[in-house]
Amino acid sequence: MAKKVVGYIKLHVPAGKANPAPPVGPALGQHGVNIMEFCKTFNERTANQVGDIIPIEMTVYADRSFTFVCKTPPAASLLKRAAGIDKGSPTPDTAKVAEISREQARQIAERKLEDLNARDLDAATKIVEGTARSMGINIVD
Amino acid sequence: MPAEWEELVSDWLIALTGRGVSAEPGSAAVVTAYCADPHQADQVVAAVTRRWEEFARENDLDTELRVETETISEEDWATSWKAHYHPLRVGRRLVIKPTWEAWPPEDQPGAARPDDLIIQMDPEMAFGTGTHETTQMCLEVLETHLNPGDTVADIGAGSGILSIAAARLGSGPVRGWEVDPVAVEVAQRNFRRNEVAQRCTVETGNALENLGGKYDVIVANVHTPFLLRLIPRLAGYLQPRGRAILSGTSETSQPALVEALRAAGLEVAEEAHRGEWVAVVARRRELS
Repeated sequence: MAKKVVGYIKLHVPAGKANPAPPVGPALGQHGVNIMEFCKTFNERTANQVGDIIPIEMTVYADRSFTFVCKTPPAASLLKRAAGIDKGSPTPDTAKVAEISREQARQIAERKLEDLNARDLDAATKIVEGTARSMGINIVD
Repeated sequence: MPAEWEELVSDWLIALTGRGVSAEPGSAAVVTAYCADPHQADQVVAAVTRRWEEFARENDLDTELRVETETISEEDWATSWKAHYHPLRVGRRLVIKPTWEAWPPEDQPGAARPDDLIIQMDPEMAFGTGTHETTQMCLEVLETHLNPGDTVADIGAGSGILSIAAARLGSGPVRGWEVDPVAVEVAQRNFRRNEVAQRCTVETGNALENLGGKYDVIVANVHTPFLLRLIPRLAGYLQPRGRAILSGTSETSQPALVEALRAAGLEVAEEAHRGEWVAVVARRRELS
C-alpha cells in the first residue's frame, strides 16, 4: 500500500555540507523528520558536487520516513561556471564581470528546463538570461 | 514573488546569509532564509529588497517582492522530531531506547525479552539515532562479528551508539574519534547514561593520523570520501584476525570502496545492503 504523504519540503543546501542548523533544522523539524538522518544521506549523495548549491525536493510520509530528489544546480551556479567566474558583480547594472554567448545561456536553460518554473525553452532561456544580467554577466550574440 | 524567479532570489539570499534556504512551491513562490540575529535580518531584508527593485526595473517586471520577518526559537525545531523517535529492536538482542521512552512500550508489554541489551540513547544533535540503515547494519554486523573482550575503534562515533552497542555485546576497551566537538560531549553523556564510561572513551579528531594501536574490530560509519582516505591506513591498525566494519557508503560508491580495500591488501568478507546503503566487513587478504 502506498504510504500517506504528509508534507513536501524544498531546500537549497550547499553540497556535502548539510547540518542541523537552519534551514535544514527548522524546515525538517516542523515535519518531524529526523534531521541528522537527512544530513547524512544528503552529504553522502552530494559529496562529489562540493561547491555547488543543490536544490532538493523532499516528500515526508505519515511515519516520518522521507525520500528526496536532488535537482540541477541553480542557474546562477551554472552561469558562473560557464563564464569562468567565482562570483557575480555586486553592482550588476554598472559593473559587468563576464560575458557568455546566447547559445551558452540556451544550453543552461535546456539543462534546467524541467526544474525551472518555465512553460518552454524560450521562457527558461529568459529566466537564465535575467539571472545572468542580475549577476553582471552580459549575453552576447 | 513570481515562481520563475524563486531560484534567483534563493541564490541572493544564500549569498547574503551564508546558508541554505527553504522554499514553498506555488504560483507565487515563498523562500525562507535564516539569519543569526535581528540585525543581520534587517541588513538582508534591505539588500534583497534593493536588488529586487533593480532587477525588476531592468527586466520590466511590475511584480513586487513581499518580505516578512519572524523570530523563531531554536528549541522548537531541534526537538520536534523526538516525538517520532521510539524504541527500536535491531538485530537479535539490541534495543535502542530513547531516554524519554519506556521499554517495553506500554502498548506492547510482550516486546521485551530476557536477554535484551538495551542502549539508552539521546542523540541530541549528533549522528546516530539507530533509525538510519547504515547504523542498523553496523549494529547487526557488530552483533555477529564481535567476540567477547575484543578491542574496538569507533571512527566517527557521533552519538556513541556503536561504541555503547560494542560494550553491551561484551567488548574490551572501545576508543572513539569524532570531528564534531558537540557530538563528543553528546557521546560522553550517553556513555555515562549507559554506565559504560569506564570502557568507552571518545576524543575530538578524525583518527586518520593515529589510531594509537591495533584493534580486533574497527567500525567506521562515515561518508565515502572519508572512508576512501581511511582505507589505505586500515591494515596497519587491524590485528591479524581483525575485522573492519565500514558503512555510510551508497550503492553507487560501493565499487570504489571495494577497489580501495583490494589496493590496501584487504578483502570483503561480508557485505550487507539496505535501501540505497551498503555496509562491508573487511579483513586482511592473507587470511583467505
